[in-house]
Amino acid sequence: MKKFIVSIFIIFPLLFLGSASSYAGLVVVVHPANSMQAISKEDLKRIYLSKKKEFSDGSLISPLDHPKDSETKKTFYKKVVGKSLSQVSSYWSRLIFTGKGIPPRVMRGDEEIKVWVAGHPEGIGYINKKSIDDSVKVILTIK
Amino acid sequence: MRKSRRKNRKFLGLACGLSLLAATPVQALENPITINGFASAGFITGDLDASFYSGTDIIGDSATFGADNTIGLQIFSNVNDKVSFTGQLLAKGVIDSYSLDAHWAFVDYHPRSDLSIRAGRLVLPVMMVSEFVDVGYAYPWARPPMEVYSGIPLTSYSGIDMLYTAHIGDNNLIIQPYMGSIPASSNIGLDVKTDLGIGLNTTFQFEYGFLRAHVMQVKGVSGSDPSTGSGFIMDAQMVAIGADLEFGNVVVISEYIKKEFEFTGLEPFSEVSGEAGYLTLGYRMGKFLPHITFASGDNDVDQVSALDVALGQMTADPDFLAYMGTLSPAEQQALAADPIAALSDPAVQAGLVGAGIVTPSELQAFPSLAGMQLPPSPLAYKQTSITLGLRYEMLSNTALKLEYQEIEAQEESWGLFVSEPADKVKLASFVIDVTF
Repeated sequence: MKKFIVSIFIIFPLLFLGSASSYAGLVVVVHPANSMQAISKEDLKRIYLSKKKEFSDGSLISPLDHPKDSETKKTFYKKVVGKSLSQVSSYWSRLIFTGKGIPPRVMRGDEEIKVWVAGHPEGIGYINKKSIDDSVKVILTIK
Repeated sequence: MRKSRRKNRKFLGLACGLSLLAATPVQALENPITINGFASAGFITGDLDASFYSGTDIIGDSATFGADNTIGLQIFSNVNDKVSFTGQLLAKGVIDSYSLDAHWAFVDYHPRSDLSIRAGRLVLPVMMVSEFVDVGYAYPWARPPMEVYSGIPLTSYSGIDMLYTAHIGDNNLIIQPYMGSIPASSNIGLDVKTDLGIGLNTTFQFEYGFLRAHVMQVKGVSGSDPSTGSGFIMDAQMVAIGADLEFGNVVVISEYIKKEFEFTGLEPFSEVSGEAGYLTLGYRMGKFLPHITFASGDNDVDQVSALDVALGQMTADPDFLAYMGTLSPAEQQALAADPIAALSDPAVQAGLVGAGIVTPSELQAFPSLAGMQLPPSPLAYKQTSITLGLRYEMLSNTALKLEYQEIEAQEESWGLFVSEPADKVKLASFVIDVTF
């Protein structure tokens, strides 16, 4: 009986971990040489809505995005920008079709974003936590 | 005929732009061309005895399909890191004819991230939605409130503008001055074109959305009245303010415009001054956005009566001057002082008819003209409406819109209808909007 209770205490949190692993969190990454050590959610929101276009040192920012309808993109915009993907595309349609803005460059996924950011000091992107490696620097974890 | 000439000219411009791009194949490879597009298809039904000015078009009548049919294609390319090119072709269906326009075609020089100078064919930013009025996907309604979007120039122009963004804390202030020549436009009911229009659009972006203000002045517009073909000069001033806000799930959109048109040489009007506004309230519920809009437009016309117009035409006739010469000074004075009374004199009547200046039936109609007002135009309307709408995000980049609208022309006005409407006109619209 004791064994059973102990095993429940061990297994139950594991189950919980298992269900949570479908969303392990997103991280925001930049080039390792980027002087930025951290970014606020507010600034990140403004970068992805093209309201902020330069890093604090005055260099241009190139934000990167995931393909439309991807779960990663849906999560990012809900948690960081506070908008659904349809609200975001409605927002962009106003800027695109008046020549006032260009949406973030769309990449195929985490791997392509890491490769691009690693090769471009102006790049910024978001990837799933499990894809982190030494090629990029994490400046924010989105829970 | 005039329209097709205009089209050809625009195509020529676009072709030049395209061949410029094609002439630099190396850059073209390094900077691929981005293609985006949008489309709308609509259906309208209800009390459609009279067609109406929807803002951008005249719709309604017996045709219920095609009211809001639009397709736009846009190409964009970076020529280098400071210069880019944008071209947008727009095809629109209006009842039985389709028009094809180079809506935007400009070169954008952006030496800094906060400054952009654009030259070429641009679109007037008169109201908040003006620059993307054909991109239905970008706003909640089937079409923007007609009381506000009618009777203003909603057109492309040839000129230059500047977009400067000032960062104020975490907020942005975007200043957009512009100047240019505005081509012939008939969405104010008159064909007008101007050599110079200037304006300033300012937008303040902050956490909850944005606020905007716009002023515009056009001077010495030459035009012709389509009903008579006569030429005239128009001066116009417009001031507009607007807000597009979101507080959590609550959507608030509102705009107000004050406009003044002064005419010289246009018979029925000497001055039109008006104001219009609307308030839209919506509440986001997942993929649904139900909304309600209250709109009103009130324009006052300093209108010359039909009698004055008829008398003006009669007295301008050279035969009339010759006839005046045959009268005694006292008779001449009587005719000038009170033409209606003098015209009831059988001797004067016989003289005018005899000289071929007026026909007996015209003469008979004169007294009744005194109380008659000339037909309204989209410049001169008094109208209110209430619209209930629902936007549904069906698929990604695809929105379905349903709307029910009750429109009331106010006072003696026909509102925005081209013939006398019922007391309360009820309309239902169904529109599908996509972007790609």
